[in-house]
Formats: sequence, structure tokens, C-alpha cells
Amino acid sequence: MKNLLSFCVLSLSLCIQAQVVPDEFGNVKPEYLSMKNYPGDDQAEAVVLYDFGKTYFIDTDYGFRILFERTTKIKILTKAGIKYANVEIPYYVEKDEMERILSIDGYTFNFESGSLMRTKLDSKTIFEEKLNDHVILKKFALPDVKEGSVIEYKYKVESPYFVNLHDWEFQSSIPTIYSEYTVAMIPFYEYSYIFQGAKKFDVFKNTQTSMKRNFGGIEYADNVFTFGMKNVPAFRDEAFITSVNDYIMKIDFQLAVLHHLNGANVEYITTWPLLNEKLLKLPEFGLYIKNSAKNAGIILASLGISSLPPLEKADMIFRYVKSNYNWDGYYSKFAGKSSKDFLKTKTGNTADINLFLCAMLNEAGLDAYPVILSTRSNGKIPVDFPFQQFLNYVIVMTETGGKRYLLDATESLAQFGMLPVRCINNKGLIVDKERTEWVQLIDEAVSFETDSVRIAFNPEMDSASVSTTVISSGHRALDLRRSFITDPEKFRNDMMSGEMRMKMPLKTINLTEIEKPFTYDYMTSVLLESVSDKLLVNPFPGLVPTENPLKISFRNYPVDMIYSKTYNFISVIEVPKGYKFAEGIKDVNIDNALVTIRYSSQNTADNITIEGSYTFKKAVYFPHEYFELKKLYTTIVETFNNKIILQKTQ
Amino acid sequence: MFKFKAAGLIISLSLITLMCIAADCEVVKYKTVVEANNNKVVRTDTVVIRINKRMGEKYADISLNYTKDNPITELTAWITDKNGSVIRILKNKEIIESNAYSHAFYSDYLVKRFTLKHNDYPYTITYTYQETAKQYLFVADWYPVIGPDVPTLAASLTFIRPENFKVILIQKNLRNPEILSSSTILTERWQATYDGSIREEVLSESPRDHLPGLTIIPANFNYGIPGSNSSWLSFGEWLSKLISGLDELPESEKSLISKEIINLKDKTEIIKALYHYLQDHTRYVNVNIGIGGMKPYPASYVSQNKFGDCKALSNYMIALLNFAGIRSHYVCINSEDNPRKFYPDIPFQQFNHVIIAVPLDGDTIWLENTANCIPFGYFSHIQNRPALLVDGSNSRLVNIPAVNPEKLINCRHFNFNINENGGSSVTSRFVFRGSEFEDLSYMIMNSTPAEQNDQVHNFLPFSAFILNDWQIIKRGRDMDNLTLTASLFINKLTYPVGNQSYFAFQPADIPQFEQPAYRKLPVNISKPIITNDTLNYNLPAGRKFAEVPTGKIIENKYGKYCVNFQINGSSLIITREFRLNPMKISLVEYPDFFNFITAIKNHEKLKILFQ
Repeated sequence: MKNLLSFCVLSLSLCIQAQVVPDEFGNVKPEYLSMKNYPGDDQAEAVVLYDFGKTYFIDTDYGFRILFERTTKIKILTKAGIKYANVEIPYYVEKDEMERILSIDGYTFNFESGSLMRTKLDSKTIFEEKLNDHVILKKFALPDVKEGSVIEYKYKVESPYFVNLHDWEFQSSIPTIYSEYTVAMIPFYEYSYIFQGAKKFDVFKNTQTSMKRNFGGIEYADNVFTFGMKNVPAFRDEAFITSVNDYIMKIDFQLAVLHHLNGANVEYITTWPLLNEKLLKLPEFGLYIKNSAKNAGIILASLGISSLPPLEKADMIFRYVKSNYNWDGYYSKFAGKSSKDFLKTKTGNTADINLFLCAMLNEAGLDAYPVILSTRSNGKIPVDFPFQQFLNYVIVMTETGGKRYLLDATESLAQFGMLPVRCINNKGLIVDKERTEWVQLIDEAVSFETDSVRIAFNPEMDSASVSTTVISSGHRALDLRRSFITDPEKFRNDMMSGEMRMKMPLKTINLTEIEKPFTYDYMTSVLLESVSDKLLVNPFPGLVPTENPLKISFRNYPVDMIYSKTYNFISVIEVPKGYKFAEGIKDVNIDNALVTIRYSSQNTADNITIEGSYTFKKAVYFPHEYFELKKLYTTIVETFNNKIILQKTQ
Repeated sequence: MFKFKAAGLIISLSLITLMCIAADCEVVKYKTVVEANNNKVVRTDTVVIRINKRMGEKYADISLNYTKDNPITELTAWITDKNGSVIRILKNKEIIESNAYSHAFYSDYLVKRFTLKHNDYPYTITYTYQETAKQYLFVADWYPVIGPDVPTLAASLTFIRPENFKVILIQKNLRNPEILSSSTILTERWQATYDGSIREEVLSESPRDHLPGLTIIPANFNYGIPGSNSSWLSFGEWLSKLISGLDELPESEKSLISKEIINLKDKTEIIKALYHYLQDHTRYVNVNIGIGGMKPYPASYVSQNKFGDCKALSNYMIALLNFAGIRSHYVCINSEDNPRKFYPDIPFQQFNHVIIAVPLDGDTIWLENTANCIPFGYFSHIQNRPALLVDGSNSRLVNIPAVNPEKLINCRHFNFNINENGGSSVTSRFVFRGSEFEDLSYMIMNSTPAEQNDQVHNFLPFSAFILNDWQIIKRGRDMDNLTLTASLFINKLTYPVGNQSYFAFQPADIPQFEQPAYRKLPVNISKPIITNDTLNYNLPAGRKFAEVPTGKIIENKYGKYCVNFQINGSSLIITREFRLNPMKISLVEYPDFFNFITAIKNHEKLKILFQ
């Protein structure tokens, strides 16, 4: 749902219900104290009784400032809910401008021995913690909180930042009985908003204040919008989802137009073409690319690649940037430092690195454009509405030989044209003044892992040597390379299951030659398992999942596997003298829209060969496919953990 | 929790030869100079890190912890390329200052962070800074190690002090110092290296005890108020003074407590009632500011806010007992599961936690005041270790006794009803004591139902199953055990073999010890590990057992494994006891110990055949 908040009449059909009125601050209704559980959710450890937010503009000596006030009242139902009495309020600071917390107040209410006990938050127990140069946390723990308490706090923040009006989440990890956000608009700033998580508001009101204000000789009234939601369920995180941001019920605001007193209007972002135009003029985006040109040219000259075909040239440039500049771990669509500083420090955020890559590609005569996107953790982009705050990352697209390649030089282990998982999130916007075009952020690389195993028994028949070779490509190779590089010891340990012992150390092939499949091999020894006169052999020790990760019985949100992947297995078991293959193994052959599972065996007098594979065909599975997917996963676990039986012949 | 001075870490020169492959990153030099006099201690560190490969670059992100009272000054840093040329000098604006990460709700620990990276390997990062402390409990707690996998090629600590500045030295894996001067100003220098091989291992001694390090303790100090490390008595007296006068309760609180205990005559009952009052009305919130690392918030603060850390809550509990006319004592301990070596003969701040001791009829009740979920008088988690009882001129080192092994036995009962398809429904009943009891007690009190479900799922010793139902029963808040019952279904328990089927019996809960070739640290089993299991397997109708392993007893100084198999028609009852004795096992003995574990595991692999 997208909307514009201005003085226009809203044309939306909105459900209008009665608002909830809060208690006077410092007071509590007896029913809140006597409340033992929340009928809407018997699992809730606490419930937000109400949460009121209000944003309005004040006229100060320094011009307008935004004030944000919040009052929250929570019932603590169980001891697990006491954590909601430890509160953190983040605020933003810069060198010249900053947000300020003007006041914090709080109470805890208990009903003990027949009387109401009210304990005030002691201002001496409010602390300030600096997270980094821009974010400070105010922290406080409300006093005397126990099972059954009602807590209440309010605070007020003054902000000079008009671009991002305070957003509002109607939903949290506990249920909310009533959540309401009021914004009082003035004619000088016009905002767009987007609402997600529900089809309509339970409460909506639009009024004008009766008291007129005056600014620069213009008389105006505040245009007040109230948005309310009732009985909002708890948002409980589930595994395999992209981002809470994609699902939680919230309203986001973005400055659209600034109306000056002289009648001039400054359009902030109202269309994607305008966003593109603006980005290209910004020193931390378009001008950064321009300003990098000279240095990019000097580097290119030293690389001596001018005579290479375009694709090879692009590949060489991509490799150069990846291997020479370090990502500092920060996502941004804007460069964090000057191009000069970036080249000196060899370190930068995603924009520093990728915009420089773009400059190098351009200087080399290649078509290259920045592509702005929203990472998976940041949530989906509402493509039909230009909220620039939803875009938090920039990559590069280069076009050569009629083909497009998406590049992210922050991921040193990614091949040319492969995006890291964090970027695979629907689509990104090509930043080009000539066009407004979206590009799909998909993974074209084939992701597979092939495990080849050879099992030979030692002459004493008390153990077997297992030689394993793992070959991987695409994202699977990227994941494995990264795990190995991050912690080789953990990587080795994770391969060992049960009573496996390492016999020969792990050897990697093509660890850094990323255009080739990542391969590693190792040899382990496993103790033999037997029953009666039969040997039991696990054909894929330590290689196949032993447990179904899909545990819950019902799924609310899509299962996001990020990319489609295939696992292939082959195991050759050398049949020892005096033994023979005892059992026919049941072949498995499942191929449907969700997965493919294959498993078969062949045997000769000397060897038994087990071959199998499974493929998750989709990157994202819908909630209605969950039950079937879970069942198929169980089949995979059971099939590939089957033991091969060898029978003594004498 | 107490505040520990941030410490770095270490090995012997002979191990250096093992480093035949260049590490991704190595500390070329770690030079520390500590200059102390009666007014202050100034420590100057110069660290040279060589980044050999891109994989070592995580160590190019450098963090230096400090506090407002112990500021860091004169921080400079630069990069030198492989030719030895300085190519970049750190600018002040590149240093990020913030609060340091802490487990506390709020702590005033600060951190300076910066990153120095280059794109041509190898390159070296050099940084140097000074830290000044006017109030301190340690002159130095020095470990010249930046990461467990990073070798330190050459480290030194030079200690300069006036002759009359008395200290106690604890050398760890270090040779004796060179004496550089011994006139009115003493100068000594220690040297160290580290090969980058020490890691935490299964039931190992604390890795830190195996690193090179030097702890310098002042004989006398002024931390808040003057004190002395000359004896446990003097150190205890200093703490007594630090906490004195903090036990005043508001009148409103006194009247509430009076109501709690008015009808109680028995002293133990009064102590218990007040302990329950504490558990029911307070919560653990750690706020750590300045000397607050050692000095508790007063009882009146806890009374008002109903929260505090271990010191504040213990001090408050003492105040509650005091009001009831019961004397108790503040007791400092190290509460870690695997604490660093304790030096009973060297009095100094070796603790990170506070509990209280209540003397009663010649015995002592130990009270842990930070957990709302543990029973009255329960102390298994801190058992069998020294502690400092703070009692003015009667302060002394005491021993928290070892828990009776009976109090640590975990019992597991499984009943498997196998179906014709190889699946099995399972009902299981666990009686937990010791650390599992503590974990589950905490869980049921402080986790949401969804979290509890996940945790129980992870807790159950099966890999592929459907959890149908579970329940935790704790019979009274002061019981030291609880029962978890769970019913579940295993899709695949038995497998066909010819016209018969087999299954593996549920294995004993045995830690996964490292192979002897890879083990680096001695074993330290601080308390007995005992599990008694009963496994009941019921075959589908008409089936009978074809082959069942024989019973086995393996017993030696390390522990005991005893398993029995008894067939009763179509049922098989397996009883099993597994015990590891509390002991230390050296690396020399380790292969023998590992053989004991392997012998048990070999028996556990045997299968049961039925037809």
C-alpha cells in the first residue's frame, strides 16, 4: 500500500474504528494488573497493552525540528517476559547535527498484598552507550519488575533529520493489543508512506488542528494523520526467511517534496528516474565515479590490459579490485570516503569498492553502471514506489558481447558474474541517466557439490579407510571456500562425524583459483560396525544430513533456500575377501516440481557402487509446499543414511 | 561479576621449530614496558603484526580496551611494506572510540578500534600506545598473544620499578627474567614466544594456563581505598572496608520482610524464606561503572530497583539476613566452569563472582543470589574450589566443598516400541542433576514456550525424530533435580538384513575426546560425570531376538562402564552405567585414557539382531 501524505484528500478506502485511549501516564487500569494471560496468544510471555507514537514539527530558533514521542505499556505475563523491561533507545549523531533524547520517564506497577505499588524509573539508572561514531544507545532497566508487573515508559526525541521521518512498527516479538502512530504534517514537507503486513488500518483519522501556526508569514494548520492497528499477533522469527523486514507490520516514511517559502519546490524522490539523476550528481555516488577516473586510468595503465578482449579486460579489472581492496563489512550505496582516501587505505564499504570498480571499467572503455539494491537482510524493495531508504547496497553491471554481468568486488571469493548471497534479493535498479531499468538479481551459476567416496577395509577387518573427494561449484563452492578460509580447523572438525578419525590431512585444490571448482580430499578411518556375521557400511560418512532441519509442522512464511542446489554422491565400496554384497538396496527415483532424489546401486564381485543425488529445484518454496518439502527432506535423510550390508561367505 | 583487567596471552622456544609453514598472520614483536611507582603504573606496548596472506587480515582490525580511569594515550600506528618502507600512518580520525562489547547490561569499558590494511603481502602493522593507571589491583596481567592461532615470534616485558615498590610475580610458561639493573631502580626483562597451537579442548584445563604470561601484583594498592595483598586476611579486610556501610535497608523493605518471616522460628526456615523473597522480587542486571567492578551497589539501591549484579544482590541478601538477626558473609569465587589455575598461596584478586555464606550449626549454607531458578543452598556449579570469605579481621580462604557424586547422577529411561516398518515410538524419562538440571531449570523459568520447544528438541539425544510431546516436572522449587519426559517417533530405528533386522542401541552419553595425536592439553574433569541408563526395546508382535551383545564391565582409575542385556520374551532390557571420575589426566597418560574411552565406544557399536 503506497500513499502520499500531504494536504490532499486521501482517496483510499480505509477502515475506521474507534481509537484506544491510553491511561494517564503514571496510572494503570486495575484490569491490566489482574490480567493473567492474553487470550489471543497463550504462548505470549508479555503483551504490549498499547504503544502510542507521535511525530510532529516544532518551530525553533534553528528552524523546524521533528519531535517524536512514544509511550508504551507492557504487561509482563511470565518471567521470560521480564527482558522487555530492559529498554534500549538508539539515536543518531553526526558532527554538526544530532538527534537528542529530551526526556525518558517510566513506571512499574505491581499489585501486592492488596495494594497497588508504583515504582518510578530512577533517572540515575539511565545509561548512555556509544555504539559507534553515529549511534548512541540510551539504556535503562525498569525497577521492581516481576511476573505480573505492568511496565510503562515514554520518551521524546528531537531530530533535525527530515528525510527519514520516524517509521513505526505495529508488530513486535510479543502480541500487541493496540498500536497507534500519529503524524502531524506541516505544509512545507510532504512525505510518502508505505504500509506492509496488513491490507488496511484498523483505525485511520485525518484532521486539521484548529489552532493555526505561522511560519515566515504563512499561516497554516497541522494536518494530522492517525494510523492504528488492533490485536496484532506476535511476529515470531522463523528459520529460512529472507528478513523480518519483509513481513513485519509497519509503516515507513520518506520525504517526497520540500516546499520553500518562496514558492519553489524541491522534489526529493518521487520517481526512479529522479532518484537516478540525483544519485549521479552526488559526491558519494556519481561524482565519486567521476573523481575516481584519473586514478583508475593510472592503475589501468600499470595493468597493461588494454589490448585484451572486453570480457577478459573486465575480468582482469574485477580481479584487480577484489584482490587489492578490502571490504570493511559495511553495506552502503554511498561511498564512505573520498576516492583518494579509499585508494590510500585500501579499505572501504560496498560503495567505495564497487563504485571504484565501475570507474575502472568505464575508464577501460567498457559499459558499466552501478546497480542499487536492497540486501536480503534489508528486505524487499517496493519496486512500484521509490523509497531510497530501502536501497542499501550498490553493485556493478557491465555489458559486453550482448551479455550482462553483475559484479560485486567486495566478495573476494566470488567468480566474475557471481553475486554473494546477500545481494540475491529480487531486483536492482540500474543507475543510468538514459534509462530506468531493473535487473534481476539472480544466481546464474550452477551450484552443486559432488562427493566421491572410496571405502577399503584393512586386513584386520576392524576398520576401513575412507578416501573422500568433494568437488563444488557456484555458490556451494563459495560457501565452502569461505568456511574453510574463515576457520580451517572448524571446517575439518565439521567433516568428522561420530567415530571417524583423520588418517591423512585434508588437501584443498583451487582454494583461491575461484573460476575453477573448489575441490578437497582427505582420508579418514572408521571403525567397523557389524551384526552377526555381517558388516554394516555407511557409504557416505559425514557427508549427508543426518537430521531434517525442517522441524516445525506448520509454516507461515516462504522457505527461502536462497539458490537452487544439487548434491551428487558416489561411493565405491571394495568388497573384502570372504564377504559379498548381502542386500538388494531399494532404488529411489523421485522427480517432482520441488526436488529430485535418486539413489541406486550396482555390484560386482569386487565392488559395490552406490550413486545418488538430490536437488532442491527452487530457491524459494511457498508455505503451502512446506509439508511436502519436509516429507521429501526426511526421505533424503533416510535414503542417504542407509547402511550397506556385507555378508560373510565362509 | 567482577571486572578483570583486559589481558592479552603465549610458549617455549623449543616449539618455534614446529612453525615450518608461515602462518597467515604472526606477531613479529610484542614489546611491553611497565613502569611502576607508588603513584601510577604506565604500560607501553609496541606490537608488530605481520600479515602474510589475505586470510590473516582479520588481525588487521585492532581493538584496544581501556577505561576512563585507565586511559590510553599516545596511540600511533603505521603500515610498513615488505621492503620496510612506511607507507601509511594512522590518522586520529580513523580511530573509532565506543563502549566495549560487554555481557553487562551497561559497562563503562571503552574501546579504541582501527583498521590498517594493505594490498601487497606480506606487510606489517606496528602500533604503540600507553596506558596509565592510578588505581589498580594488577600492575600487569600480560599475555603477549593476539589470537590462539597466531604465533608470537618474540615478546618481552620489561618491568621498571623503585626498589621499595614491592610486588608479587606469577610467571606462566616463562623463563626467569634477565636483571637489567638492580640499583635503586630495578629493571627486569622477561621474554616469551608462542607457537599458535593452544585451543580449548574437550574437558581440558583452561587454555590460558598454557599460554606464556606474567601477572604482576602489587604488594600494596589503593583501589578506592588502600589495601594489601600480603595475606588473604589483608585482602579480605580491604574488601570488608569497601563493602561496609552498604547494607542499610529502607524502612518500607524492613516491614515487608518482617511479614515474610514473622511466623517462622527455625533459623533455616527464615534463611530459606528470605532467599525465596530475593529470588521472587529481584532480577539480575549487571551495571558496571568505575570501581563498581569491585564495589557493590548498596542494599537500598537493590531495594528500590529490585535488580543488581552478583555483588549487589549478595550484599542485599546479607542485609536481609542481617535484619533478621542472621549473620552471613560475602564470599568471592571464580564461577567459571573451567576456571584458570588458582594460586592459594598468592593472595590477590582471582575471582569473578560473589555468593554468600551463612554459618549455621557448625555447617555453612552457600547462597547463589543471581539465579531465580536454583534451589535454596544449591552450589553444584561452583563446587570444589577455593573462595575468599570476607569477614573483616577474620577474612580467610575457604573451600567450597565437593558435591556428593550422588547429587550429580543423571538417569535416562527409554522405552522403544518398534513397529514392522522399522520405525519406533519412544517414551523417554530423564532425571537430571548438576549442570543439565541448572540449564533446564533456567530454561523453563526464563524462556518462551517456542524457545523451550526448540531447546528440548536439541536436548534429546536422537538425530531424526518427531517430537510429539514433552513435559518438565520439578517437584518443588528447592529440589535439586528435575524430570523431563518426552514422547517421540523415530522414523527409522531398525534396518533389514536378510530375513532379519538389526538396530543400534541408544549410545551412552560420552564426550567426544580428541585423538591422542591431536590432543594438546591435559584433561581436567572437575566433577564426576555419571549417567545411568535403562533402555527397553519391545519388538513387534511375533518377532524375537536373534543376537544380542553380551554384557561388559570396563573399570579402571578413569571411571567405569557397565552394561547388561536381558531378554524377556520380545522385550530387551539394557541397563548401563557410565562414569568418569573427577581427576586430572596428563598428556602422557592421555593415550591410556583414550583407550579406555575407545574400548567403551567399541562395545557401544555392537548391534542387536531380531527376526
